[in-house]
Amino acid sequence: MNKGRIGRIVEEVIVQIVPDLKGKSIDFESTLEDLGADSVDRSEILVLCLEALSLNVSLVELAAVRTPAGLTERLSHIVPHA
Amino acid sequence: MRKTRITGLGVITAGASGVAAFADSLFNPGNVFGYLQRAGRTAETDPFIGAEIKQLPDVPELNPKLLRTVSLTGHLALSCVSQAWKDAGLAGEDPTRIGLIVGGSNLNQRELLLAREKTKGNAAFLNPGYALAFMDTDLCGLCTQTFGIVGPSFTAGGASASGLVSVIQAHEAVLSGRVDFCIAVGGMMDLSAWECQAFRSLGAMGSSVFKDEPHKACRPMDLARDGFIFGESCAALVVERVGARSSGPVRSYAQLVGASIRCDANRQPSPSEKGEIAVLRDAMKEADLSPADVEYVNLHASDRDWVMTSSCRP
Repeated sequence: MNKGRIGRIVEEVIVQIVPDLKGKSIDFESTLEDLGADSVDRSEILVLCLEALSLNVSLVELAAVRTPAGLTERLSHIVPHA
Repeated sequence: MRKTRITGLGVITAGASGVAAFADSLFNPGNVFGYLQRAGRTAETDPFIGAEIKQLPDVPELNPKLLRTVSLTGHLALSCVSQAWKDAGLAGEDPTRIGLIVGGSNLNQRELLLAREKTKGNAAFLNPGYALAFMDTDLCGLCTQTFGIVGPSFTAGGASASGLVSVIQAHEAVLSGRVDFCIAVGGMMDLSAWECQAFRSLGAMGSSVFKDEPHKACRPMDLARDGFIFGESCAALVVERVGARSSGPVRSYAQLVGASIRCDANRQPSPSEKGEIAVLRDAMKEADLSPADVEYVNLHASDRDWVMTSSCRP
């Protein structure tokens, strides 16, 4: 799976968790917090991304992630053959 | 006299949403009883009988982000608080002087069951929001956030009397001077099939006697009663300090002039005539009333209602 596809999954999940972002373009360099995701939302975003990609890895793997770009980058390293 | 007054009401049941519709439904009840069908609440054998809310009310104050994660119990609590809030005209009152107490415990059983079933075998994908939702205080968070309440908020459990416990706690919170207004919420206990089954096995909840005539199953105070019948419902009321507002007339539905909570040193749900007489005497003493002053008694009406009626006899 290429990074562009992973980025789209990340975007879909973020919009699902922060409905205010629907129809708006998401700045991938913004922090998830600045995009309106509170701490529970951020955990949910990480779990839903892992579920969407069928990645059964520890959340510790994503602990340092702050932005959609960072999340996409990190996931693309974890996904087999990305 | 130690007294408070009730200045706002909110209610939703399977038969009505809003105070006027609810009052009408008491005098003109349609049939709302049938087989329980909500996901996570259906029986493996004889169907459970009860009344479920068909359409969730719109709550204008509920933002889309909260709406996405709010539980059924939370949605109903927000609807009732919204009604009571407007009814009492609390907008503009000092939010530090408003409290909120949710009556009930283990309110969210059905949805937690669904969440566990959804991720069974894949625990890593359990929604992290479960960590908030499994606590009944989630309702305190939802309601206080939505209405900007910053006074004290907590839950109070008292089994089937939890709603009343919350009213008494709200009354006490106002009398203590800690708040001027306290919203008491009787939270809906969202039973899953497991709780329904256990209540049925215990003989507390209606059995299969009326399985072919579910509309006849709910019959409190009746010789042919067959246990309680579950109904989805929630209510809220605003308990207010007398003299809390500096201007304008305030409509008061009722005054709360006496209350009492006691135990019978007994784990079982069996009632005690001695205990009930004791709380009746406590409350009447606080209210400075004698039995001759009492014109109407509204009983809990559980299966042992004979104990309550005998407690009230002179």
